[in-house]
Amino acid sequence: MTLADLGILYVSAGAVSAFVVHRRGHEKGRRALLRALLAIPLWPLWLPVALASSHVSWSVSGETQGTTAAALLEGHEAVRGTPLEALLPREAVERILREVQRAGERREELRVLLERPSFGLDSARAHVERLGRDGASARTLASARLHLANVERLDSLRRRDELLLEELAELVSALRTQLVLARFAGSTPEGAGDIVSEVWARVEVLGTTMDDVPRFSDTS
Amino acid sequence: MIARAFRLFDELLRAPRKSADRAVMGRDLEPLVLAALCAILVGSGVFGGVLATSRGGAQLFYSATKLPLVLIATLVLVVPAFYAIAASLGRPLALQSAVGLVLAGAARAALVLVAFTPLVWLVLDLGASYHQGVVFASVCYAIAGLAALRLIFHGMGADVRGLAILACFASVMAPVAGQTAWMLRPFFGRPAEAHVPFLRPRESSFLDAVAKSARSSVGIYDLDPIQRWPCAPPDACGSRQSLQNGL
Repeated sequence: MTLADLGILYVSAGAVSAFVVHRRGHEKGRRALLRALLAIPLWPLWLPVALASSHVSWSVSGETQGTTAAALLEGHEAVRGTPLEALLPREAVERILREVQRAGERREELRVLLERPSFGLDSARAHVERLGRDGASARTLASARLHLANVERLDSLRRRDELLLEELAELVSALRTQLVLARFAGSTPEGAGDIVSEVWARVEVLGTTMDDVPRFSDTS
Repeated sequence: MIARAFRLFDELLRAPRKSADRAVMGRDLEPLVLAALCAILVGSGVFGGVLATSRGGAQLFYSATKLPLVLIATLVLVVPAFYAIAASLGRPLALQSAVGLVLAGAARAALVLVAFTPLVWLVLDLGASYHQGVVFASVCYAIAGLAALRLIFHGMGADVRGLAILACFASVMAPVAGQTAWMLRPFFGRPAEAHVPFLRPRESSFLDAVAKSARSSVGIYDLDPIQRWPCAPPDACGSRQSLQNGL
């Protein structure tokens, strides 16, 4: 294979990448065209970034994730290289960030899923009630109830993740100020150990499966 | 948009840790990557142009075009290696974060090269020889490279594992960048040549050239084997003629 062959292959891959970037992007017009054209010469660098950007929708919870991540990194930086680093080592920061990221993505997927009419909680409830009123067969009613129960569990999971992410954001924010205070005061941060334990408890819950999800809809 | 790009340049130089965190987290990655690409193109282009001031003419344009090409081509080749090294040594990153981190590092290096530009220009204007100029430019590249690695080091956790990842990555990046630059040379233009080509034909390799340039910078010039003897085979020559350093 000559350098010219390699160049043709590279540009062909770039053209395909440009097409994909243009199709997957949310923007239209000249800016979208420029984003796509940039993929032709620079597809190995630009394609992952452009595709990742097209997936990101910074909702309120997304911002919460960003705040949590920033607070965690700032807290870690405050104690890095000091005896207090054991409270929030880099490995712990990375694991918490991974769990937060995963929970954030799952929450976003669930939000999109539950917005679909076929996964609507209200419509599923209304459907069960209507079947009951209309005197549907026991088997039909059982299937509709199973669908309702599944949608309720998905909704519970989404609400649990939202609640945990919000709690985690507040806890991490408090932990950061404790650690920064300890750094400038030159003392052991009182209560920081407890906050770290609380953070870990929530991170563990974020990693649990659907079987462990409490039925929020039943209690609310 | 321009103001934002300058803020990001400022962040790359003054707060590399912040840029590294931004890349690793994948937040606002697209503006960071675009600003980094601008910094690479403009920064290395300016430095390349200044390198060619000793020669002038078309070489100015050639070097200003080729140096950014060297950096971009190197990044295209080494980013997948960085992604694999980080993952295999226990610090997996998202691919877009790996791209962002390496590009941010390269952009920092390009901005450091811009900072060296006046000094390089002064040195060349004071009459530095071709080989002294090459060595001085190499020192600038090394310092800029260290600035880039520092940013990447922050992104990798700034600990022993991060250092191991950085060492592995540097051992990939340095030869790839060197060979890419070697393939796209000349950047200065040899004084002996009447016309400087856009690209030279391939001869030896980057590592051979480093050794040769180091010898030349202290006055020891190598000759091509075909030029070393006035007749062939050498035994057929009446007397050995010393042609050492005959360039």
